[in-house]
Formats: sequence, C-alpha cells, structure tokens
Amino acid sequence: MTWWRRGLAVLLLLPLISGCWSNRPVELRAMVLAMGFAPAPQNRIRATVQIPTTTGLTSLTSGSAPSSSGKLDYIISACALTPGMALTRIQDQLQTDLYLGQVQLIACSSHLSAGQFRLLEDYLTRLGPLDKTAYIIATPSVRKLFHIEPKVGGLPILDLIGGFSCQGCETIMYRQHQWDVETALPTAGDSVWMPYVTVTPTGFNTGRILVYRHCTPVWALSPHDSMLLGLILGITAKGYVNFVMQHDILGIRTLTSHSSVYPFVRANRLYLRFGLAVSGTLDSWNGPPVTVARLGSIDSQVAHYLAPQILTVLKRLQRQGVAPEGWLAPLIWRSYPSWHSPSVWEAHYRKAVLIVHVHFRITNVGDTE
Amino acid sequence: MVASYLGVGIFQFPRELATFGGPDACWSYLLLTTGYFLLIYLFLKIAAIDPEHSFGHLTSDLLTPLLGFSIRWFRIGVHLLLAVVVVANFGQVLRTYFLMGTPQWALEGALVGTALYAAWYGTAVLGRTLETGFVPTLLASLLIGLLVIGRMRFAWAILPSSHIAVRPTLLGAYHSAYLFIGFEMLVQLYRHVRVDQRRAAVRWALSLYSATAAFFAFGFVLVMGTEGPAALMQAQWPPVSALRLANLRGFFINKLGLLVVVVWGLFTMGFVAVRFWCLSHDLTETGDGRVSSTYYHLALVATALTTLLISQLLSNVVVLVHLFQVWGLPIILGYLLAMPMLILPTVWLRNRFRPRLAPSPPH
Amino acid sequence: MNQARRPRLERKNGKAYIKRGETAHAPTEGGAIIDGSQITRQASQKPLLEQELLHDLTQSTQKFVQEIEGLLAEHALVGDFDGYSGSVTAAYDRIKATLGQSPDIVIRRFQIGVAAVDAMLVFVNGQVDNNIVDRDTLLITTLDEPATTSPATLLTRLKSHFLAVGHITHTTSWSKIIPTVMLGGTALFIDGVREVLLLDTTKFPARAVTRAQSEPSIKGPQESFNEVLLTQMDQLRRRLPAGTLRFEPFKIGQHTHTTVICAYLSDVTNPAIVEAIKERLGGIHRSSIQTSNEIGEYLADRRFTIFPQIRFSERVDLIARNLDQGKVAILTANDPTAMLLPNTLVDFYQTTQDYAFPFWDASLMRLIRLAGLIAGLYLMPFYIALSSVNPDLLPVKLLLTIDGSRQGMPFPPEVEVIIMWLIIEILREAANRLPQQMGTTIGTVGAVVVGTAIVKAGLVDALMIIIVTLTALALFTVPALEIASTWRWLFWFFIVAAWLFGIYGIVLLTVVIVVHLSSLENFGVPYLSPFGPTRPSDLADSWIRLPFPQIRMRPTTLRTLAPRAAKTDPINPEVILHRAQTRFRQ
Repeated sequence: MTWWRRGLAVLLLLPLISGCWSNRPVELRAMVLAMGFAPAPQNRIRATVQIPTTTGLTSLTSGSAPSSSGKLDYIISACALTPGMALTRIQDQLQTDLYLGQVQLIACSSHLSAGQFRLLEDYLTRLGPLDKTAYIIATPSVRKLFHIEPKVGGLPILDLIGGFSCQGCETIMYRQHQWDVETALPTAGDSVWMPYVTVTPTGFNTGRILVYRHCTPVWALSPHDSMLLGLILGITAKGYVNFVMQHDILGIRTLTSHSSVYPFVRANRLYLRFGLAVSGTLDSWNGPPVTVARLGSIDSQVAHYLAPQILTVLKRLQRQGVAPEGWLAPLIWRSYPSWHSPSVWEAHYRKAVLIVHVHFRITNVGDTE
Repeated sequence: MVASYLGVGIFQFPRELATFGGPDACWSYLLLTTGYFLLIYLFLKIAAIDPEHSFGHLTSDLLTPLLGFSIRWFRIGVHLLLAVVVVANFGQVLRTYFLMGTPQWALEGALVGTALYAAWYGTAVLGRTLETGFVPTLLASLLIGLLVIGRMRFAWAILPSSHIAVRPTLLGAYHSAYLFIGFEMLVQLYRHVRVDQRRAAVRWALSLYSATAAFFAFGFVLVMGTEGPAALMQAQWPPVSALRLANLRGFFINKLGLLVVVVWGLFTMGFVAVRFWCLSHDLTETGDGRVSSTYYHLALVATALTTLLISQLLSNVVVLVHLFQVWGLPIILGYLLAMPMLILPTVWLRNRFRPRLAPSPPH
Repeated sequence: MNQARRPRLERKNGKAYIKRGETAHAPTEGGAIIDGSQITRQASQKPLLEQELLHDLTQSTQKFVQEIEGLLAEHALVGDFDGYSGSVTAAYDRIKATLGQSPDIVIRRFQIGVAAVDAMLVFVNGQVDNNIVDRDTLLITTLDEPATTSPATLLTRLKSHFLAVGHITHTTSWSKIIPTVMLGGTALFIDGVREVLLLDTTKFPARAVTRAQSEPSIKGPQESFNEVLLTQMDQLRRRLPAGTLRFEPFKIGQHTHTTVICAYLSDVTNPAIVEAIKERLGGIHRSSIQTSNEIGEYLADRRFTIFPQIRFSERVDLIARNLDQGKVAILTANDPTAMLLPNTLVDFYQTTQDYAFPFWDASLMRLIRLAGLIAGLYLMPFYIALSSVNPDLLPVKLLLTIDGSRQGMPFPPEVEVIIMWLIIEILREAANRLPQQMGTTIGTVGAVVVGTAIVKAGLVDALMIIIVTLTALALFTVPALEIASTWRWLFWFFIVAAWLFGIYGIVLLTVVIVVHLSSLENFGVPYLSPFGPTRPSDLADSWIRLPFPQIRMRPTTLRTLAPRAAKTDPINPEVILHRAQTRFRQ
C-alpha cells in the first residue's frame, strides 16, 4: 500500500470515528425523558430535565433493581426568559448533547402565567424533533414531581408514563398529549385541559383534571368532579358512585359513558344539549334481591342522582368560560365564523342554555341476586 | 405520470385549502380537481395535435416563432421553478424534523444527485423506477394513514358546510392549485409513448390523476380530522405533523409516520427527476423532437446544478411559500389556462381554412 | 531432454528465464524473431549464470532451426504453411519438429495393404480411447487392397472400415489437424492423399454425474452436470428430447480451443436474443478459456454493474426448465457450470426446490428469501441510522436498551460493524479454504469464542453481535451465489449512507439502487421486470409461486415465440371423477 493510499484511508476513517453532521451515537446524547417548566422570579421560566444516568440505563436495560450506591437519574434545571434559553443553559451544564427526541412527559406548573404558558406551547410546537405524542400534565410543583424518591425498579417518572400509556388502567383516561394541547389552543371554542398530578408521600396522586381558560388554569376539579367531567367527555374508565337509596346503600363501579354534545342556536340563543349513556356494574347493594323491576328503578335513581351533579359541573365550567373538547368548535367553524374571537363565543357560551340527558343502565349485577 | 404532480404539494396540502376555503374546503377541493381534470384533458388534446414534433415546434408553427420561442423558455423557467421549490421545501422538512445538524446543501445535494441519476438513463428507466417505487410507497402511506384515524379529534371539520360561499370556495381552489401544477409535462411525455399505446396512455393519465386526487382527498380527511382547522392553518407542514402522530406500539420502529415522511423523499425525488428530464428535453430537443444523448446529459447536469444553487438561496420556508403563492402560482396558472385557449382555437381555425393538421382526438 | 530441463531452469533462475522462454516460444506461434539483444542484456546482468544461459540459448536455437526446417519442407511442397502436402514424410518431420517433442504425442508410421502405402497415425496418448485405436485403426494395416487402387479411393474405402469411431472428417489444413489431435482426435495421414482423416477417438477422463453440490435441493431431481460437454448435452437431451433443442457449437480460445455450446429451443426462444448471443460469442478472442465465467463476463450487457446478469447453475433440471421458458443456455467444455441468460433480478431467487414443493411451501420459501434479503441489507444500516442519527423513531424502551448496552463502548457503531464484519468475513474465508470438517470447527470456534470474548472485552456491544449474526445469516439465504456478493458490497454502501444521512440516506440509496436496476437490461430484457415495468402475468412466478395450472404463460419479458406454456383450461377434477364413476357403473 503506498503512502497516499494509507493517508486516504485514514482520512476516510477519521470522520467515521468522530461522527459528522447529524450523526451522534446514542451514548453521546443526554436523553431527556421528562422535562418540566415552572415560573421563576423576574418573570422567567425554570426548565427542569430528567436524564437517566449510566446506572439508571443499565438497570433499566437489565430490569434488575439498581444498586444502592448508584443514582438512577440526574435532574438539571436552569432559568431564563424563554424555555429555549433555559434549555440552552441546561446544555451548558452537560458534556453530552441535550437530546429532546424521546421526551415522554412534559410537566407544566399550574403557576405559569398565561404569557409563559403561551410561550412554552409556542416553543414546544416549533421544536421539530420533539415527539408530539409526549404526555403533558399540570402540577403544582415541578420540583417535587421530579425529586420524588424512587421505589424499587426504576425511575418514578416512567411509572407515571406507564400509567398513561396503559389503556383503562386509571380511573379516568385523562392522558393528554402535547399534540392535544397544541391543537386545542388555537381552535375557537375549545379549551385546554390537562391531568393535574400532585405529589404525595407515597407517590403520585392522579385522578384530577385542571381546566384552562385560554392559557390560564382556572379550576382544578376535585376527584369526584373530575370523574363527572370524565363521564361528560366519555373518558371515565372506572367511575364510582355510592349513595343511599331509600335506606339501602347502593354502590356502582366501572362507570363508563358514551357521550354526545349537540350545540345549536335558536332565537339567537345558544343551546348545548348533552346526552350521556352511562353504564356500570352493581357493586354493593344491601336492599332486597334485584328483580327486573327493581333494576329499572335503580337505573333511573342513579340517572337522577348523576344528572344534577353533572349539570353543576357543567354550569361551573360555563361560568368560567371553559368548553373542553369541541363542544362549540364545530358550530363556530361551520356556521358562525363571526364567533371566532374568544370574547364573542365566550359571551354566547356564558348565556347558553345547558340541557343534560343522562341515561343509566346496569350492565352487570355480579354473581348474586 | 403521477410523479409529475405528486411531490409539489404533498408536504403543504391542505393548509391553503383550509385557510382560504374555510368550511367550504371540500367544495374547493372538488372544484380544484374537476378543473384540473379538464385542463389535463385539454393538454392531452394539445399533445395529440402533432405528436411527431416537439411542443416548442408546435407553438412556433401554430402561433408565431417569437411566441413559440418565448413559450419554450417560459416553460423552462416554470419547470426550474417547480424543481427549486420542491427541493428547497423538502430540504427544510428534513432539517426541521430529521437531520438538524446536516447542512442544507448536503441534504438537497443528495436529493438532486439521486434525481439526476434517475433522469440520467432517460424516459424508460425513469418510468420503471417510479413504477417500482410509487406503488409500495403509496400503499404504505395509506396504511400508516389508517393508523392515524384513531386520533381524529376533529372529524367534524371534514364535513362540508351546508351553504356554499362562492368567494372562499374559489380562493381555496386557487391557492391550492399548486397541488397538480406539474402535470403540464404530460404534453412532452405523450410523444415518448409508443404510437399504439397512446390511447391507453391517455386513459391511464386520466385515471391515475383521479387516483391521485382520491389519495389527496384521503390526506385531506386525515390531516383535517387530526389537526383541526385552526392548528392546520398554523402548521408549516400539516401532513408531516399529522403523520407524526402515527405511533405503533410494540414495533421495531414506532414512529412509523415519521418514517413515511422520509420515504416521501421518493415522491420528491420523482417529481424533481421528471422536472430535470423535462427541462433537459426542452433545452436540447430539436424541432422534430430528437435529443442527442451527449447534449441531454450536459443539460441534465446543468439543470441539476442550477436547481441546487438556486435552492440554496431559499433558506426559509416562509419566504419560499410567499414567493410561490404571490408570483409563481398566478403566472403558471395563467399559462396553463392560456395554452389550451390559444392553441385549440387556432388549430380549429386553421383546419377550417387550411385543412392540414388534423388533431386526432385522444379518445 | 530440452523439454525436461526447461522447468528446472525456470525455477532456478526465475524471471530472466521465464522471459526468455516466452520469446523462444514465439516462433512456433507466429514466426516472431528472438529478441537477442534482450537476452544478452539480461545475461550480462547475471555474469554467474552466463555459461548456463549460453548453453540453453544454443539448445533452443537448435530446436528452432529444427522447427523451421520442418515447416520449410512442407512449404516447399504445398506453397503455404497451413496446407498438408500429401507427403507422410514431410508431415512426420513437421509433427516431430513441433508436437513430437512432447512425450504424450504418439506418432505411428506403418504401411497399408499389399501396395504398402505409407501411412501415419498421430494421437495424444491418454486423450484417446486406446481400444478404438487398437481395434479399428490398426485393422487397416491388414487392409487387402490391390496395388492399383488410387490413394483417393483408398481414403474412401478406409472410411468404411472404421466402426467404433464417432465422427470422421477430413481436412487439408494443419490449423485444423493440430487442435483436433490435441483434443483427443486421431489424425490418419496417407501418402499421396492430400486429405487427412480426422477420427473422433476421444475418451475424456470424466467425473461421474453427482449430486448438485452448490445448489442442494431437499426434494426433486439431484443430477448435476460434469465437466464433459457431451455428457452435458446428453443430460439436457434426456430432459428435453424436443427436436427443436438446438446446440450450436463455438470454438473459443486460441490455445484452449474450448468448445462452447449455445443451447436453446428454436420454437420458443426469441431469435433476436439467440442471434445477439451468438454474435457476442463469436466476438470473443482470448487465448485461454478455463471457466464458463470467462465467457459470461463477455456476454453481459453492462460489464461494470455490481448485479450479476448471468445465472450460473450446475443443475440439469434448472437449465432444462429455463430453456423451456425461452432462455438461452451456454455450456462450456471442462466446466460443469452452465450459464443462463437473459435474466431478471427475481431469477436469482428461484431454485429447483421451489418447483418441487407445493406452491404454499414454495411461496413461503421465496418470501423468506426476500425477507432475508431485506433483513440482511437493512437491519444493520437501520441500527446505525436509528442509534446514531434518527433515534427519535425508536420506541423509548428500545432506545434505552440500546443506550444501556452502548454505555462505555470505545467505538461508534459504524466502527463496530467494520470490526465484526471483518471477523465474519475472515471466518467465512477460513472455513472455505479448510477441509469441510475443519471448516465447521472454525465456524463454531469463531462464532462462540470470538463472539463471547469480544463482548466480554467490551469492544463491541451485545446488540451489535446479534445484528451482525442475523445480517450474515440473512445474506446467506440467497440461493444463487453470484448475487450474494452483490448484496455484501451494497451493504457497505448502505452503512455509509446510514451513517451520513440516517434513514434519509437509506431511502435515497434504495432509490439509487432501484434506478440502477431499472437501467439494467440484458438483450432487451429489463432486469427489474416483472416489477418495473410491471408484467402482471409474470408475477405468478416471481416472489411467490402460484399453482402450476395458474402459471400458463412463459415470461413475457423474454418475448418468446410461444408465449403460452400451458393450456388455459385445466380439466375440472370433478368432471373427471364423475365421468369415471359413470363408466365404472356401466
């Protein structure tokens, strides 16, 4: 081999070893699994990222419990006026490439101002490599969420993500993707809502919904109200009600619903008709044996019990000008383009007549009469 | 044939349709596709007038040599513009979603190089390549598209409005007219079809056009349904955004939608290759439509280099779309409408007074 | 003696002598003049050898003079160098001067009949069947011919006496006599007759017909060709006893005189293809043809393409089937591998076994080969693209696994591929070179020991081992060896494309390959057919195989004279059963 051939071979091999352009082996990337955004003093945004460490990765890979000494992840945060700048500051603290292509969870602090939330959403929308199917949640404290003590078997955040991706595992299938928020924000007549995750000494508390008016969080629903809203949205998977029915205690579980909403305008007044077909399993009942007639009466009792509660939730949403999931959007898009401005449609919505039809059926009585 | 129009709009459609057509987007699309069907039919009729000679020769002969000459160079400009637009656009899609660190010239150079190679061996090879590649890619796109259907939150936006407003319908159709704008080269292609297969080719052209229109209609339903009109209008590349939701769990590659977007590079490549082919033919062919192989290859290389150089100047998709919508679209559309109106009556008049050129109808 | 000496000297003195040998040989071929100055110069460079060199020079010059004299004697009689003069003595001198120096050349001079006409037999010992020579040719010595018989009549009489001999031809030309003798013929010279009888007394040292080694099949015929051309033709004739099966011979190679047969069915194969192939065969001028591939590389339309254009096979049934499909087969003497052309890409993925098994099996096997091709070609590039360039496309858990296994690795994935691939190729080549039993051992040792050790040493990550192994296995599912190396080459192009542009690079390179495949044509048959251009009827026997009653047409791309290979309407089995039952009842 002559010297120039050797030289050429070395020249060809050099970039092969060093990598080039977009080629960056995965071990040289700091893979962010979750990131959070919270307000910071002076109207700045604090970005926090969670990156698994080598120990974390190997324990995740082998599935074995991590050794006591090793830290599973490292959490880095930085503040700046924009989320992008904050992430750049984080990059400054890292020796590897901050890689956002596999972000699984985006946590937004519920204390973010409307302007900051808008800025954040704009940033996330523009970000090319970001996975749009990443879950987005709201939380009162991003710091607490990220610093939760790991239980056996890996990163706690991954448990949270696992819960979201498991269809029907949680009470309400309230997972929201970044995508859902991104498309709901500009749509006239649509309001953003997100799961509201708090941290308890034992782990995460999920099961609540936070609704936004434009970009401001306005109401964190209680677990029961969240379940009711879930019924209205048709996303409740394991709803539960119990009440006393003529001195007998009644419990119904796995409440699920098929819901529809029909907006229409009559005499310049907006009407919203909600139809809910709820079904559930008879769970506890200390009354006389269940006959066909009694089953019918239970059905109607439950419907009568649910309907006013649902209406209450709807009224409160109406008062706050929040209309999640395309209640008004089709009407505005197809027939009332003039309502496009939020002030206009909200004014109409606040004066709207709400009609709720609830139909309940027990689909399963269990193994006894 | 499909390559001549599939490629220019695939990354943008149906943004303009939703923006300008509003709730009448469906009607706009119907108007658009019907209009193009007629235009394609008319252009095929033009091609059938004198299939033995080049289009430039035909225009010089029918209209005046000066006009023929201008039309020839105008067409060269049009094809170059289309190639540049498509190359630059795809380069930016790649830089946004896939290869952030790779320079634009490398991405676009690779695309242009591939297109150059595809056009190098001429009509038959280009045809075979596209034939082999298009069917699987289209099928894969449809299949992946079906995966997204589960995420259609905005299905209500697809339904046409009950009352048709004329202005938005027309505007939507006009601004989306880029979708099939590349079809014009069918005139040139017609001559390369064997004489005994020309009738069949015309039928094929029209039915393939219809199939493409149906494909885009499916795309419209999909993108509109998943993104909703408002987010769609804001998105730079709506179909890409929609396909990014296609996420198959438990598979080796789970973001299949993103994979499809890269595979659409084939459509882009096909479109650009067809443009190159067309441009090189326009540049080199003599009156009787012959093309010398050496000149063809020289023209091909020159065309590819020019396309690559110009596309480097368009570094921003906003500028690109603006330029195309404000300047490119009206000019090209004007030309497409003017040609049948000029040529067909002239032929008719000429036949009436001097029955020499008999236009053989395509059907 | 001189003959025996030369190799020893060549070995001893190396380059200079080999050079001299070449120049000294030249006159027997075309009458070139010895380049004396060159020899002297070279000799003076090695003064120690001068003495020996001079001796050798003298020897060869003497030999040359002998040869010239032999030629001149003939020339004086006939007037040209090629024609036989009719004088046995002159011919004897000439043969003695040229061929006679080789110990395997047998020259027998004898006299025929009462008239004692001088005659001479020339043959190569070992190439001829001694039985034939003894029984038939020596019979003529006892021929009882009156002295008055003219030599020409004698010749005709003699012809009828040879029984066991195959063909008998006669010629006057030395350029025909010598090669025939060299290939096992026997030349009979009769004094006074200008025609020389060439008797086909060939007996080839031949291998028995064995099982096909390189293309094994579990079911179906197992017979393979051997090196003898006649046997090859016989085997084909037995499988295709059609009168239209044509074998057209060509002699190629100035030194080897290799017979090459162009075989085709004259009522099926497109004559344009046959003509083109024959023309190309006629245009080959080489001194030596030892393998069929040496001819094959002349026949390809595009020489530098990485894709094979000629299908090689030692299987008789495969060649016969393809002949019937309308292809042309080229048989080469001394090479059991026949060639088929023109081919398409899919042809290289079809085996005999596909036809010997039910169509579900056959289709599955072919689809698995396709899957093997895709896996072999794309698995590794995809790994590189997805782990280094586009990790976004992977599910997070898989990426975490990859990330975890790659922690602390000293090399990037592409260098790991190079390391692993080198190991595999070295093992493969080592296993090929060694005897079979040892080869297996090497394979096992390599796979187990090297594989485990390299992971333990932390040089290559475990996932890479899995992928490399799968790739290597997948690429060996190719039934035709000639296309396996194509993919092994392209594999590296894919690695570079994936490394540079990730998935985008892979897609673009795939397009480039499709363009290249589309551009390939062999004798007007598109290589990518039946996919580009689409030939719907040919799809019945492509990556899947439909049941035989469904495959009615010969490949349309071959543009055969008889497009239909089977009748359209297979007889309805129920009707047959019904008829049989009715007949039985009667």
